[in-house]
Amino acid sequence: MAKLTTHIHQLHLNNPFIPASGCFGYGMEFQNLFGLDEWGAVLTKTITMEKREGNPPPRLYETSSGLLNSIGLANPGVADFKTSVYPHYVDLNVPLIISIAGNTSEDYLSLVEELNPLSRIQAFEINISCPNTKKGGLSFGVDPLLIRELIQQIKAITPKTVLVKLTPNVTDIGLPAIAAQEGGADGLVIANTYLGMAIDITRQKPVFQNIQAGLSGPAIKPMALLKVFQVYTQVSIPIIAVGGISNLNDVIEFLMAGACAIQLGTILFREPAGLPELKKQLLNYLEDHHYTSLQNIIGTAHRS
Amino acid sequence: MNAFQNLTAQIISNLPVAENIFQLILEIQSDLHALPGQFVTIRTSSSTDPLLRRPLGIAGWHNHQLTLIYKIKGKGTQNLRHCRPGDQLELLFPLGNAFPAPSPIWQNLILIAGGTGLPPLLYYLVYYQKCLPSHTTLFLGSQNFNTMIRFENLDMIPVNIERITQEPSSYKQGLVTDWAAQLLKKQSPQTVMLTCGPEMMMKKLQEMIKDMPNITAFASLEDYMGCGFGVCNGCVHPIQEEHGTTFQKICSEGPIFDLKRIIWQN
Repeated sequence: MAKLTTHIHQLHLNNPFIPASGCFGYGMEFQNLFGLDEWGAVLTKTITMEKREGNPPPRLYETSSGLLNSIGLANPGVADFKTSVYPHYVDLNVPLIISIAGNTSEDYLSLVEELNPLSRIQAFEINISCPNTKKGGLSFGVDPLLIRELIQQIKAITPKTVLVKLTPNVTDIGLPAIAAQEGGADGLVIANTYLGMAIDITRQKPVFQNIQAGLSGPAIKPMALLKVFQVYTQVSIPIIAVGGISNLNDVIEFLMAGACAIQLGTILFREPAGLPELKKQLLNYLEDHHYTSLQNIIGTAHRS
Repeated sequence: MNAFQNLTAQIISNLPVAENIFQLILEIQSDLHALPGQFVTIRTSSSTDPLLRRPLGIAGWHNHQLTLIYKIKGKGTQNLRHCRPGDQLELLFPLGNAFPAPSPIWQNLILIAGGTGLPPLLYYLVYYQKCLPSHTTLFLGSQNFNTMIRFENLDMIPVNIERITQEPSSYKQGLVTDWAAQLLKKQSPQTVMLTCGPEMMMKKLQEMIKDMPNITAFASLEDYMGCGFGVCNGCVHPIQEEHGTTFQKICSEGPIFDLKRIIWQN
């Protein structure tokens, strides 16, 4: 029987599926639909040092096969996360990845220090690509020198796996990807939302107060796929793909482009209970094509 | 949070109840309880456009039959319009909080529905019909005669129903808020108001009751929703709390909020 197992550095995943940060909260509500252990790994919504209320509404705008969001990293802050959220993961049997973001490198390092002692956390996803906050995050994400330095500093203080989530809103994603690898990143998450906007034609003004917002969903899939394909040729560390992945065909395309794991984001809003079925479909695909493991198809699109 | 399920519903009927407004009756196999004020989110398309599910307030839930009322506004509701008996739809059921249940100390209950704001209030009247205060009035406002929801069961509920249209018709004419104001002036202590409808209407009601400490009011808010169950933080609304303003999620901390605490943005 074929196997869906995959590895990201020290993380052993029973299947390649991970919820995308921001589309899954902390996972509690989803337990009405299926257990957290169905995932290959659980990944939280981004945590910051201080509580963040997030951006003023409106925060969402639907586009053709896409969704613009301007949430602004609303989260309870690391102290509340440790006391109120983390205890819920006591029975979790799959790797736990915490997404973190800050305004300064000190913020990132403090977050890692705060979370280091929590033994169930196996990895950090370093979010340097949120398009919806005024400072920080993205200002790191577009500067390869800052990325290398930040990741070096984080790696120096944690034994846990460090994944770096990059922005696609750059001319050449290879530069930040290589910088993250040079800094010691154990894996890359490619990518985040694409910048976009919408205009309210009745009021003749932008829908979002920040004007720009992040576009996700099936609309961005071909663009995200290209980024994964490009980065695969430039780095040797594992790539986790995210960007509009919505069905079995998408999953296989991203694996063939070189991803070893797959994040599901906006599709969770449309098909919140779809994961068990998608896993079944992927397994059937492998067996129908006489593959014994996912490794048989990862990166195969580069052979020709 | 309350339990909810992702379910496949079978359409029993999908018929007009006013101009551009339809009543959808679905059969779903669920033993979950749904309270007045709660809602469902429906997947309206097999393609990814529209991408998101559509939230609709529950207008009735009895014997595995779910009643919803929707107005055709965009692609999602247009797709619903074309559904036929026997077709299947996927939905999350039930979501959100609920209107408070009637209390024996309530002396008067005023329900104010504008446009397609009727569903949760209709379900409220049916669900609690045995324990409603003796002075219960439903104000039902619409633009004109054609857009007034005609719902056969409505007149079987033993409460006072006032139908009001903005344009001249055989119903009372004017704004539902003006007619409600006349009744509010006469109210004794322990009056409770429940409302659902256009933001303009709810704003006006809030303004009317802000200096009336004897009136408690609850309103149902709506917005675009990403997930529908408290995960994405996409549908927040500013709410006045004792320690300041907080953004609360309409889908999971609402949709029902204390009307006096709702902060309107524009």
